[in-house]
Amino acid sequence: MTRRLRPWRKAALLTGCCVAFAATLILLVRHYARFSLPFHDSFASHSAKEWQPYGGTWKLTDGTVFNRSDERGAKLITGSPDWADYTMQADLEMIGHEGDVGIIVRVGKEERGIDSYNGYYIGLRSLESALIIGRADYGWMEAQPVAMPGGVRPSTWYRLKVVAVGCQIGATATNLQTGQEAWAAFEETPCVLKGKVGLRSMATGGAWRNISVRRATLSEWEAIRAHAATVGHPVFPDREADYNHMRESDFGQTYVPARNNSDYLLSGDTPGPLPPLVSIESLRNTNLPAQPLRIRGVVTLTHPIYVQDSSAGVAVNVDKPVSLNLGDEVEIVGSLANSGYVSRVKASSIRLLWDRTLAVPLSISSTQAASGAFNSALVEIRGYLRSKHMERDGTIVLNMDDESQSFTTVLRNTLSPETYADWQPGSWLRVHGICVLGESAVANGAAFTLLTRSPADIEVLAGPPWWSGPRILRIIIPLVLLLLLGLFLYLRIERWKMRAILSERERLAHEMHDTLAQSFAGIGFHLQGMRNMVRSGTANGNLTEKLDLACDIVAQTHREASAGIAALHPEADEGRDLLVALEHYAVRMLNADTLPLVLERAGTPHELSFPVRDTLFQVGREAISNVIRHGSANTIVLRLRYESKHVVFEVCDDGIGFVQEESSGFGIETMHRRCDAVSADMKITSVPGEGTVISVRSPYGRRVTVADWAKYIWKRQRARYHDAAERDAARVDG
Amino acid sequence: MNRWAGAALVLLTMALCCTACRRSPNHTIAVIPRDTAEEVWVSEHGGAADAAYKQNLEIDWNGPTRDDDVEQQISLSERAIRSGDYGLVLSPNNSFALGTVIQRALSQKIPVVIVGAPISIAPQSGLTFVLNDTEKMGMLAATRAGEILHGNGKIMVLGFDPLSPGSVERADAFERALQRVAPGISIVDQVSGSMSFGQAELASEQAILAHPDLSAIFALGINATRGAAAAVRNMKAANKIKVIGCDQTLDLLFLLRHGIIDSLIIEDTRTMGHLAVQQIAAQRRGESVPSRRYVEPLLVTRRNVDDARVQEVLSLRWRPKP
Repeated sequence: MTRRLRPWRKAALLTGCCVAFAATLILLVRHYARFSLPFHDSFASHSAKEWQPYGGTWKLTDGTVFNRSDERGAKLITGSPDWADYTMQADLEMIGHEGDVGIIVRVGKEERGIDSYNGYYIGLRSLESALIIGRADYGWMEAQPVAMPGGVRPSTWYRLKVVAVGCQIGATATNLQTGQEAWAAFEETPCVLKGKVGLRSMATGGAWRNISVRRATLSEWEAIRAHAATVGHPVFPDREADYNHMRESDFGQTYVPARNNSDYLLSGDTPGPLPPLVSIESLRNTNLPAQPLRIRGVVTLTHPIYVQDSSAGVAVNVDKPVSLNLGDEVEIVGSLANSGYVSRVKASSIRLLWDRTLAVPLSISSTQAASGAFNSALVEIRGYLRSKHMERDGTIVLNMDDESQSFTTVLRNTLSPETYADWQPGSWLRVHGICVLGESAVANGAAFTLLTRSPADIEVLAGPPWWSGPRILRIIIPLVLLLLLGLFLYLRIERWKMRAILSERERLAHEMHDTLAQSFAGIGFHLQGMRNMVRSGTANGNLTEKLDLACDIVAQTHREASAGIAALHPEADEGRDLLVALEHYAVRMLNADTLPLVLERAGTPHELSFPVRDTLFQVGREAISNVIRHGSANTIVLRLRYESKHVVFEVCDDGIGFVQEESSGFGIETMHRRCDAVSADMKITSVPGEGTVISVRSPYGRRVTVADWAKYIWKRQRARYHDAAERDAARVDG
Repeated sequence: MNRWAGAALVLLTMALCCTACRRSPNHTIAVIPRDTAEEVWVSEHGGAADAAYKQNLEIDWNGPTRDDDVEQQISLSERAIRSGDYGLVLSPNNSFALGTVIQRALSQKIPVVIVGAPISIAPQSGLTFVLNDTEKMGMLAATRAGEILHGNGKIMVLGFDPLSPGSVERADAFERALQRVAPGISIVDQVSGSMSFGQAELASEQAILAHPDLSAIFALGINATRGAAAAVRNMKAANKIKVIGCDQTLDLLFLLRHGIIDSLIIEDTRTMGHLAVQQIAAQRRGESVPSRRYVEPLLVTRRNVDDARVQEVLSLRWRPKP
């Protein structure tokens, strides 16, 4: 039965190992393929799962990633921290008026914050219309900016290329409409030599596409250096005066804010006489579609556009797309276009007043939201996630409840559908979004809909309760697996224990057969002979001779029985000196000091590990036992010699010796096996009539490791397997 | 039974080790400004980094991306508490909202130093203040107003925000000082509220229209100063209306150099950052430290902007100086 299962076990083990190896290989290949060079974004397939946002409001639309927030230092990072010399290229556009957009290279230690990363930033800044380049390390050091021909303008696409080779960083910027170019290059020593890549915007929104990273060559750097006006160590001015001088020399008056209304007209024509300014709240109480009106408000959502002032919020319809950022404060001229529950303004012109205005969501209850009082306003609502689904276009819909209302939360154009997995049904969520009452929400049985701007608007306050089905499964499955593993190990250990007991019993049976049983048989034979002699009346001097012989056999048997019993005593564990322990054993075995025992030591004593000491004791014991029983020796010498890396133990006697044969006895085999277990070499030298020397050379030993244990088990199993095979073969032959 | 007791003992030891590891303080001081990028806070970064370098400590410098983001300040403070930081140097951007997190840090025996402006909590064991001297600031502004207006005129105070630490103190100190050094100058308007640049610009334009005889604007913060400068320039009133601003940024200093802003009262945040780190280290050593220390501000005009002392305070160097 055992032999039939063994191939199956082997196959199962092999298959398991192969599967584990293949899985590891696939994971490694996938990981390195994801972050190996060359790298190209997968925005076109609507995926940005390998990108990690730090601040900002990032969305993915039509192969372009947008940050519609004017948060300073918003970052989106990807790549491997081990990327070293590479060229990064990206097309980018500024959404907004004052600020800069760019890319970061060799990024490390990134977290949310303005300059909260270690690496280099290369960007286009509108204030100076320049290509800027500098170093961040939770602080900012800027090198000499380079004027961008034609300026840096919103809604214009530029191509930025950065080459990083060693401590040399070079950059080119190209206006994709006009072809105008700017070059910048600098060296920093010491420098950041490797790191990830990322997109970054400062105080304005931006759009990026066609992002690629590939290995860089020195010739690429040299090509940029040939065009760059100044090359060398960057001037990171320490003094404000120097910094001011650096900019003034090249950019003069561009630093002074200049507000020209036409620059800030985002949509439509410059309106003539302006209609009266009204509050957004007042739009609800009027129904005069033709009446021109003017409102001011902060942009709270860009697609579709929602704005709000201190009184209320409103949806804004536009004919053409408008580049707006969240937080832009705008003036809208248009007319009312109310539809159903929703107030709408049809905009004829939109003018940016200023940006970076904080719109704080109002924390309200779901019933207040359902009442319509906060329609089109930015609100904060908490609720439980009942269910979720993703629509074909990637829109995520969360169906939520609280004590009194059911409502939906909608997230469009998120960076990666993987964020969907973060929100588990049963979780307690806090959602920031535009509260909208409308037919679509009502059709779903929900009181209202919250339109969110990015995944950051949805915060998990508490995960689903631990007793939910999937969680219980997640706890139970590992527990069951652990239990099964424990049970398996327990059974294996019990089996090994039982085998060890049986093996020892087998050894004892052999020894008893060889000694006691044969001795008793001999005694019985002698007694039987004596009885026959007494019956036949032939008992004379022979009887006394036979009685003497029987007494000798009884004495011999007694000695052997004593030796056997002594051998079972665990004297090796008693912590005594090895030679003293063996001497004590020999004395007990002989029951008298009849055999001279010589103990010899040489070299500097060295501590022996327990397995080595035990092995030497057991070998010595077996050898002494053999000498006493069969050797007829006059003297036994026990010798222990400490060498630099090994200990040599010898048992020498001057007995009758024996002829060494290929197949040795049970006792010698046991000695060999014990020596193998501690990597010791054992040699037996015996010449008939001249005595025997048993020599064991063993390393001092080290702590037994799992590997040793496994090796020992493996050897043992292999030996057993071979034994079984040999026995089976012998049985077949027989 | 022995095996169970042994296992329990091992688990207990591990748990104690974990707790001990978690509680053992590292040698990093979290320094959280109101906003990391403006020049006024870059100086604090430099001062704190210098002091930490000398004390063989490290600083963890990070802050919100805008000066009204209370949540990010709370989040960073909580991270410092969780990490068992050596100390917390905080420049709160709200007078009340950070009280709870400060108390939490103190309950974890983390020394806290408030830098810049006072908040609603009084000094106590573990909590000390390194403050800008607002009385001196008011006096410098009032004296400068008296000089440029020759003791007579009408002035507006812009950017009064009761929730912003230091704003009320600055306005009050200015009013008191004005009565002493230039009683002929009257405050005609005090525009209050949390202000973005645009809002400050609009408020300034409206005030200029409402007070045709306005001769100066005292702006209490960075955005208010930017807005006032933009409004004066847009309304072509630069020759008539002088702008005295507070706090330093590179663009405000640029405007000052070009005469668009008359003067700036700058905080010596470099010294404050230095002192704050020193106070943390001293408290950790068990030394007694003053509960409040005041650092004098400086008046910066076109005439003295390149002076060594002013340039030292305005230094852009934030990496520690060996």
